[in-house]
Amino acid sequence: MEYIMKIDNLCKSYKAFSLKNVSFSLPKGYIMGFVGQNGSGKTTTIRSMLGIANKDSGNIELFGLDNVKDYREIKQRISVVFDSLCYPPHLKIKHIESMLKSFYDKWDSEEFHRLIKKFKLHENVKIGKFSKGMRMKLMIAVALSHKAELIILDEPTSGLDPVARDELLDILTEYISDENNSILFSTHITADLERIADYVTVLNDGEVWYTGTKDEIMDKYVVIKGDEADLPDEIMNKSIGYHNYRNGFEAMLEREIVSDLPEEIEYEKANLDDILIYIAKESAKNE
Amino acid sequence: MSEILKLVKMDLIIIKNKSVLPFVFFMSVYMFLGYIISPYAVISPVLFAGFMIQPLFSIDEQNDMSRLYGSLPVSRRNRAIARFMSAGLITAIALVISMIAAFHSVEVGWFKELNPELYESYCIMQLEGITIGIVACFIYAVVCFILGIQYTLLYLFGASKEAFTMIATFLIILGFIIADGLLFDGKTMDIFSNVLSRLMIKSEMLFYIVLYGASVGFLLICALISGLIMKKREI
Repeated sequence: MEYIMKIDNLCKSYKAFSLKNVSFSLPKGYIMGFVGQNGSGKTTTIRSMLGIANKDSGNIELFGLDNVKDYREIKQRISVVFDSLCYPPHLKIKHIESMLKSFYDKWDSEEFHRLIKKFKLHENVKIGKFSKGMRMKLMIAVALSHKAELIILDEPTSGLDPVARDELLDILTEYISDENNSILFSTHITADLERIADYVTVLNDGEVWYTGTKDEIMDKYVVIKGDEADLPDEIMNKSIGYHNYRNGFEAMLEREIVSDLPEEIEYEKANLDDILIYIAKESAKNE
Repeated sequence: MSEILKLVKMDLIIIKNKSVLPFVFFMSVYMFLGYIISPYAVISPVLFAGFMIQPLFSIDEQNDMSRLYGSLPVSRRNRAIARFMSAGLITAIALVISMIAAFHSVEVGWFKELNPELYESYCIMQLEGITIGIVACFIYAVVCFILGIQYTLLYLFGASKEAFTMIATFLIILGFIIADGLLFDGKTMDIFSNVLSRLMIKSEMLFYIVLYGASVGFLLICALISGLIMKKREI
């Protein structure tokens, strides 16, 4: 399998937070969801990939190239869509194009203007007056106009209405139909990932908690509920994010242990949101 | 080099739509007044030209543009160098325009009739060799010197400390003048002015080459220092 991105033992320390041996890889032609609660290290990982943050140790390879030594070639082939506009808001679309096109060898002006029309973006309005959805589409148009083979999305859907989110997912689905293209999609809205991601990497407190296919993680865990008295201690110890309420308890469990559960305990498939919540509860419990 | 030029272009596009129009208006009014007062007054707005670039630092910070620069195929070092080059270029353009205007104001000669006293002092200065070209060259040197120090401080401390860097720049210059006066009896300044006077007497062209060269050179040294700061610093 050809990997478009490989991160090995990435470490990066700040005063109050550190990334600890983060390792994961994205095969070419796929979408990877990159999830974790706020402060789990998603943005630091992305900033390290882009060289905005200096890694302490570890290796980051994109397209088989070193992200520090070969940054020029790498950045010709990637694009990043951020959660907020990273262009000066007093500019118009024509300024954005003339500002950026000279940096990219494969910039396609025709494609850029086609996308601007397709996304119904107003060319004569200052981009600072665009809605959040329009701003996100502008960044996508820039990404697609220089033929980026990897798009990194850093929480682009936060604050978007459902229609705009749906439009974004359609755009990404069309983009990924070219098997040379890949996406790393960092988001809090896990429903989006359940719809389009092939792989998922879950970060928790600066560490990779899970990395693998989406189907595997979605099948791997169940949420269990019931009366605390019915739950054997042995299973309680194996549960993740166990917490009790006045009327019972809730926790997450690996599906393979379900066969050991007493009949009184109910269980259902955990979705990505559940997984993130129970990981967070487990972390809080261990602090 | 092409990377730096692309970044200069980017700076100019950003600033063109932010502060160029107000500056052009300000410069035109100031120059027009200069036509009435003195050709030297026509050149003086060049002092402010380089500072037109300064809002770029706060635009960068307000919009977290480090994310954009981080995603572009450019180095951090070249980003810093390009910012200095943009300032030097804008000042140079303003200098050329204002010098043409200054010579034109001499041709038109409005100030001769409207301000005969100032005209007299202008003639005396010309006789003493303080030509429009020399004044313009000095102004360029002063702008490059101030910009070099202030932009380096901006890269060192960040755009959020803009007011501090402005004060610090003037304190550094003031400190240099006071230290020269107290410690060396003003000899450093004397040496500097003697060298320039000798150059001027020897060859005006050589004077221009040395002073313009030193101005651009100083800006370049500051740019390289800022480049090193940016290379090591996280953005």
